[in-house]
Amino acid sequence: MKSGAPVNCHDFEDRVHAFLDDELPDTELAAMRGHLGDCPRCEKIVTGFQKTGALISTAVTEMVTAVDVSGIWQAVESGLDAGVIAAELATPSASGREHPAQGHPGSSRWDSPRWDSPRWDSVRRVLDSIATRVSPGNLGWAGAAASVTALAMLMLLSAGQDGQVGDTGRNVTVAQAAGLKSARLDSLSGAPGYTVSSWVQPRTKARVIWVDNGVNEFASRDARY
Amino acid sequence: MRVLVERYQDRLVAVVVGMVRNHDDALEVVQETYIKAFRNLDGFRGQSSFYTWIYRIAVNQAIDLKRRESRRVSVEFDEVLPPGGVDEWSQSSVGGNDTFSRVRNRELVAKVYEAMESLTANHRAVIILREVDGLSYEEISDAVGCSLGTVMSRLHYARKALQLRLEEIIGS
Repeated sequence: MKSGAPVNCHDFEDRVHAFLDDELPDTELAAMRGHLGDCPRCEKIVTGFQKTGALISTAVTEMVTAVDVSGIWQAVESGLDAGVIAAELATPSASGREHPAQGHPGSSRWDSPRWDSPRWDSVRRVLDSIATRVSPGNLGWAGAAASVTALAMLMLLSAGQDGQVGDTGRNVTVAQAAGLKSARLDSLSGAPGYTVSSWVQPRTKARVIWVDNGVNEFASRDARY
Repeated sequence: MRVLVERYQDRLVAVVVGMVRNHDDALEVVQETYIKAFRNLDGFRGQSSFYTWIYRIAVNQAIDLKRRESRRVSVEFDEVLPPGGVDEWSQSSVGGNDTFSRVRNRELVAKVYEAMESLTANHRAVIILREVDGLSYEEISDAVGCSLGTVMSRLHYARKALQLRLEEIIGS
């Protein structure tokens, strides 16, 4: 079709989608509109496509109104943190413990300045999130996040029943994890020799998760043993 | 990062809901899209806008999910209804008896989705990016990763196919 030239039905049908989507140059647009005003057949074609588009838009909008988007950022943040914790656990510091060795039952809380450093913020947020969200026996939730190995490991273990202790290798199964309070892992995100433990504090009923590889220690916020 | 998530999440959810139909799947795809985007920000070279780049990730994630679960029929239409069900919903709909107020009836929403599911994921992505989000051909081309010509031919095919399937609703 020549720019600005009169439009016949064949030309119109060729360009009807670009016309509908406002993708034509002004000169062609004017010619298309001119034809549309004179041709009931082409007008019907346009109306049909416009109705189809409106149906799709309305149907999708109707579905979208039922979607709760309020938790998206939190989920994204947790997902990113899970990647960070996996990376952190896989690269233990060569400079020694990041925290005084208080992380055993009977010690106070994780309040050292080094633990509070920005480097550990993301790790701590993940541990806090797990401790808050995981309840004993809630293995379904654990399964949903199994895409992140380290996080899934932590969650499976934290779902264990209190008062039982066990050892296992890297192949921790749901059935095994359900019976564990503490486990030795051959590998956590590629790093060897981590102990992952969980407790429910008797007084507050808060779940505490603790990770140790003999060099670094990690614990959920306000952990008291 | 939070600002970026919140700026585009509504538009992204709309596109993904159009593609995967199920609310939970849509949220999962959108969340995974942002996580993937932020972990791979190095891959964003500024050749396209941030949102077409992130749409590209979302569309690919949604297509992957549909491929994995191609046989799954999982929409729960009751979820979009008020407690009073279809009658209350219809009465509370905007407008009167015209075609586009009737689409608010859940059966019609279902028919529209069934029609869209007759398309391939690539055709569905293009028609949704255009009709739901109003992207230009160039933006769709960036978001889907195909040429302008392919965008136009996919739109042409998708509109024709949908119109045929929705003929009964659209009427004369």
